[in-house]
Amino acid sequence: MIELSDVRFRWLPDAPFVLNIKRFQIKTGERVFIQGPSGSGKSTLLSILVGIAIPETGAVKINGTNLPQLKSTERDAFRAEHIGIIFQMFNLIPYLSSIENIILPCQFSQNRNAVAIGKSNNVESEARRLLSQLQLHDESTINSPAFGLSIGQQQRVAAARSLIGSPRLIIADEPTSALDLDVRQTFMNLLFNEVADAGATLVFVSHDPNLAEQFDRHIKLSDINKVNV
Amino acid sequence: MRQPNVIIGLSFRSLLNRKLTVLLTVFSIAVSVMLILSVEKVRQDAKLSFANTISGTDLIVGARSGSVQLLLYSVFRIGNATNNISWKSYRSLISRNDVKWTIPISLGDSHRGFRVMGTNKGYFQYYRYGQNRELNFNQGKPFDDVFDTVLGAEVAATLGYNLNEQIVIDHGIGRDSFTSHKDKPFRIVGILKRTGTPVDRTVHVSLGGITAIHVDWEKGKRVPGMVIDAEMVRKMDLTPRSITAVLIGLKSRLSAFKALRDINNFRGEPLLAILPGVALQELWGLMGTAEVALSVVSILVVVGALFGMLTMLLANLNVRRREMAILRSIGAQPLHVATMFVVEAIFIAGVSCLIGLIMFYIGMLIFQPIIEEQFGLFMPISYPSLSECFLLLSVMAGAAIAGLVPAIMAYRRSVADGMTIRN
Repeated sequence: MIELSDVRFRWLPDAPFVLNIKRFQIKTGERVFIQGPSGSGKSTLLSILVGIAIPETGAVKINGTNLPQLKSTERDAFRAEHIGIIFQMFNLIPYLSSIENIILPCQFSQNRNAVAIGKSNNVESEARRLLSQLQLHDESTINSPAFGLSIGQQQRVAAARSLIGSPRLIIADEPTSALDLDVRQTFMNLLFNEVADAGATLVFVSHDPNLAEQFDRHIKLSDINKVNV
Repeated sequence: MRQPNVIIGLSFRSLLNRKLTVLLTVFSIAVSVMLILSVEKVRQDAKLSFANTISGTDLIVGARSGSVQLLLYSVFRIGNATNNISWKSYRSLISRNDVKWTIPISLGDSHRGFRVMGTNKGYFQYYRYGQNRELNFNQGKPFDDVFDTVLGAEVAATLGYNLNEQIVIDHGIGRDSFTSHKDKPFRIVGILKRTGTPVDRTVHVSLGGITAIHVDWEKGKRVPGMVIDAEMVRKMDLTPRSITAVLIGLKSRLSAFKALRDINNFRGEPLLAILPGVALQELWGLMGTAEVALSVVSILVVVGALFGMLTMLLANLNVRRREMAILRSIGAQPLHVATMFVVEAIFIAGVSCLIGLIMFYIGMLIFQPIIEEQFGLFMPISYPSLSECFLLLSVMAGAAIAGLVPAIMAYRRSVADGMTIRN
């Protein structure tokens, strides 16, 4: 599913490298936990995986497509098509309702739109289905602007958005760090269920090793990122 | 792909989310649009009305002075003639072969601030203004008797005069004349329809009338001991000794330059002939600076309003970083993100132009009659002219350019921010 080789990256041409990954692979359907303290290049790695940042050297293959070789618009289209992303916080466009936030990816990808319609006849129903899977049923919550939601609710809506239209790869950047402990566990369970249902690959990044045990694989970023060598 | 629609839809939702600031911005641009439309309207209609003050007259002849001065006193009733034309010279002008008609005019007196003009009946027949429009009577008819007078529309309206009322002419000009010709009152026999020209502010009498009120005067003063009353005057020869200026219509326009040259070289006395169109342009040229200043100010107001919009867009740029990163994460291109700002700017400008246009027309409906009454400036209400459409398009283009600034910044940021959401 994911294949990184000889990836080296720095933000500015004469700055030191922040990423230097010789070889890193994730299999299809695998749920991987990548652990690293803040500042260790986690966000940079994710930027590279989703094709927003381009490494100076090396190949980043997602499902066989080498992202650095695509044009930037093609990378954006590829991301819309194949990748769902959950941020740490501030995931939602505040003036749109939950439903509207969730169906946004379908408006940028015809395939995800088609898949969503295939599942529930239309994208709004599919969004509702995902929300109810994530235990958000309340109509007024669903239809009111996103800025009124609690952080826990926001993260569940964000998860639904990343999942709609069944993208092959879900990338999560510390999605639970703003959540309380009990809410955190519920969220993780719901996320796992949905990812399993969709048969997607999950890459989950966090500094908190306590979350790691539920994953198929636990990787320390410092083990694969050899910037200091 | 539906991205363009999605982006435009998102822009609207985002705007709705910021109703208050957006409304204020729209309002300030709308007001500036209304202002610039009004200024342009006044400018163009004033220019047109100015050029339309007199038409059909091929030459204006007066004593030798400046052409603008001659135009000012003979047509606009502003200022004074430094000298007169003798009746003899006038006779020889009439006898020219190329002259079709003449209107002699004699100025110098006033009635309660309005200029009195002595002329003949040819005035009502030949005088033209605007697009070859002739003078029409609202009430009554041209003067016949020595002591008949015909009032311009504004004179009658301002002073509340009706037909057959008697008025007294003041000697000299200026609102507070010390002396008046009260022994020889005039009867109002006609009131002209409004023309939007200085004719509206003129009290017309016959040349004989002007002579009559001055028979017992000498050098601007009453001759002591000499009293000739109105009845006696009627029996006298009232042919004037001199007049102030002559408006001339030629048989053929082509002979205007030859006539001009002849009259300027007239042997009897130094005369000045001018082509009204040329003199009007010369005069308008003098006012050109004010005209330009007016336009510049209104353009600056629009620019100011657009800067206001730019400020609003830039202020939002930081707040909307989150929005931009989210859109990028679901596959929006940096170009899409940038487009949102331009779409917003154009939308705001479009709505503003529309509201400004509506405000402009409402203003016109309210103020048009007032302006016509107060300033004699007729401003027809019409569909937006080509130049007005161009103005509106310029505002839109200006807005689009202003929108490019935050758009470019958004583009750069959305590329540089990558996956991090800054807030």
